[in-house]
Amino acid sequence: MLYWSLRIGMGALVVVILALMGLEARGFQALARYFPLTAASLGVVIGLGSLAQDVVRWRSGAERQTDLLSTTAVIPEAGEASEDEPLPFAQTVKISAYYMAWIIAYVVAIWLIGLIASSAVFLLLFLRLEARLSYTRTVICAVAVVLFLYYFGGFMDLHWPDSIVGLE
Amino acid sequence: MFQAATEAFALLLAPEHLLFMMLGVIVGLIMGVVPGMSGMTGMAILLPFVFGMEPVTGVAMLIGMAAVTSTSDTFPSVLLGIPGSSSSQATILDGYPLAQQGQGQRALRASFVASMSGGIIGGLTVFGTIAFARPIVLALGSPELFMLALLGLSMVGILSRGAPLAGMTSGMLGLALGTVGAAPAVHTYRFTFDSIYLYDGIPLPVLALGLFALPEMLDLLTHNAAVSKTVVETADKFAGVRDAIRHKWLVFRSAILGTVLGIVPGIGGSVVDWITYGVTQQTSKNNQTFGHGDIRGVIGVESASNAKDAGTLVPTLLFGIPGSGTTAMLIGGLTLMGIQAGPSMVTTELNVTLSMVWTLVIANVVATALCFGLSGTISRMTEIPGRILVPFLVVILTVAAYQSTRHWGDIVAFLGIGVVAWLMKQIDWPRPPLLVGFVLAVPAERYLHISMSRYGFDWLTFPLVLALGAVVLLVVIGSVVQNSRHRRTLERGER
Repeated sequence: MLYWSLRIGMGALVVVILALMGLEARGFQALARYFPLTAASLGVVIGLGSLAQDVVRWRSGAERQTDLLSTTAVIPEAGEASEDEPLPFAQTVKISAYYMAWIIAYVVAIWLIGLIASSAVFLLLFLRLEARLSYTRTVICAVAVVLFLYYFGGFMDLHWPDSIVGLE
Repeated sequence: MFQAATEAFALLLAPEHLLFMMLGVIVGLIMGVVPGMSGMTGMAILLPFVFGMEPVTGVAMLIGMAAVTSTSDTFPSVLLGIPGSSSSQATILDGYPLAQQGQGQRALRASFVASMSGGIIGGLTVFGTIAFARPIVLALGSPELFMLALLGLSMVGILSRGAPLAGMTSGMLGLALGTVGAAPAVHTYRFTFDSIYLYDGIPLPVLALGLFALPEMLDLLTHNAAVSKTVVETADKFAGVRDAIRHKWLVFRSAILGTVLGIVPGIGGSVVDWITYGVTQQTSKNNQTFGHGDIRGVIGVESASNAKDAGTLVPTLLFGIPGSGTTAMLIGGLTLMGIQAGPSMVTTELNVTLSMVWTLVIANVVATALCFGLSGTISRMTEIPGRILVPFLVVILTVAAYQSTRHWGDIVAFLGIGVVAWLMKQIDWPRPPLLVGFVLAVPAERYLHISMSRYGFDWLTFPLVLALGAVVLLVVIGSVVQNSRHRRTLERGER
């Protein structure tokens, strides 16, 4: 049920985005208008077809189709519960949201205290709390990454994002 | 010509030239292995060193770097499902599933042999055609280039096997997103919402990383699984080599296709691998396994990808038309050494041109040997549990995404696109068509605009346009037939 809700919701969202882009494109100068307007209009038409197809398949109780060419195409296995059984879809979404929150927190930390400092903090916390590495290994990994960033960044003339505190 | 080639080869074998070529090769290898870095970054690092250098030496270093990024970028594409550079995006489609099946090393070694062969065939093809490539390139006007962009777009149907409507919607969304930023013909900024970040459009590396890297990282974290779900790597170190030899004709024809597409100016290197993947899949027997770890998907793409680098030298050197950011910087490097790209490259500066071709060939062989040596160690990355591996990737990819335009928008776009792409992956919406649409939006719009302004609708009757139109039609019909066959197979399986 959650699978089809998300699939239909995604289809509807893409159609709305393309429709809004089409409407916005109508206000551009003629030469800037025709290409995005055509792409958006075609996208809305095909997207509505895709949406209708999904609704019909959902109403007819179709199973999730896994044989699609979406780069990996394989449903991840080896979850925590069992080595062979895939995690239930709802649980996958929930756990992924949790880890996405970790990544967002890392980005917020970059914004607050800078990239190198927040990378050290992120690695220390994540490797200790989530990966359950020993204290020694965690500290070694964090220090190694900080040194790598510092020297590799210097050699490659890499730039770091600005932060509120002003640290790198 | 042959005497000039022999002289250029002898010149290149001087120790100082080889030394600088090796320096370029090492920088190129690093650029390929680190996701988000590209040949352009490598050029930016090396460019300051070439000022005042002897042309053959400087060229050896620059071409040595540019030639090998397409070989080493296979590491992250195959082992992590993260595009190492824009020319290795399609390698993920079959390379990553192979790594998941515990055959990462086989995929890597097959790809290295294919890359080396592609680079050598591409170099030799350029050597054979450079003298008479000028009229061929001049015969391609904006209408033909627009049709080539359409040919790339027609691959969307193939890439969305099993979900044609969702795939095409994805492709259209990619096309629409590709129009964000400045319009090519007039002074209009589209869909920018007054954000300076969007004035130049969404950067391709950010979109590619968001589409493919973040979803894989989240899945690895969620399941705390290593990339490789099974350990079936055998002691047979030459399985991948044998794969490449078994599919030698695929290597050869992909290399020729890559070279030809590279010679066509303005299409862009990141399209070549998608077109090659589509052609490889459509022309292969028993192609149901494509997208699930078919070694042919890796071999074809990698051969074309390295051959394309040789092809792009033709418009770059003969006309000063760069096919990519990397070749644009190469022209800058040549200027720093006192050489002007143009017809003189096949007359007075022929020795420099030929030394570039030789460097391409030698650098590809050296890079393959180095990658072979490293593949065993690096492929063990696929056995590391997700929750240990991914935090490091998060840091590296955030840094890599930020280098695209060095704007906070890069990181925000990376996260935003990544979340949408993760959702697309979970609900089986094909992601490759979105990238293909995005990559082709700019050339398609530019060449359509020029064609219409210059020829009205008359260009639709040009012979080459009609021929390319027929090819596009064949590809579309082929993908429709393939989709319906695939669906029937699935239905039969369900019953």
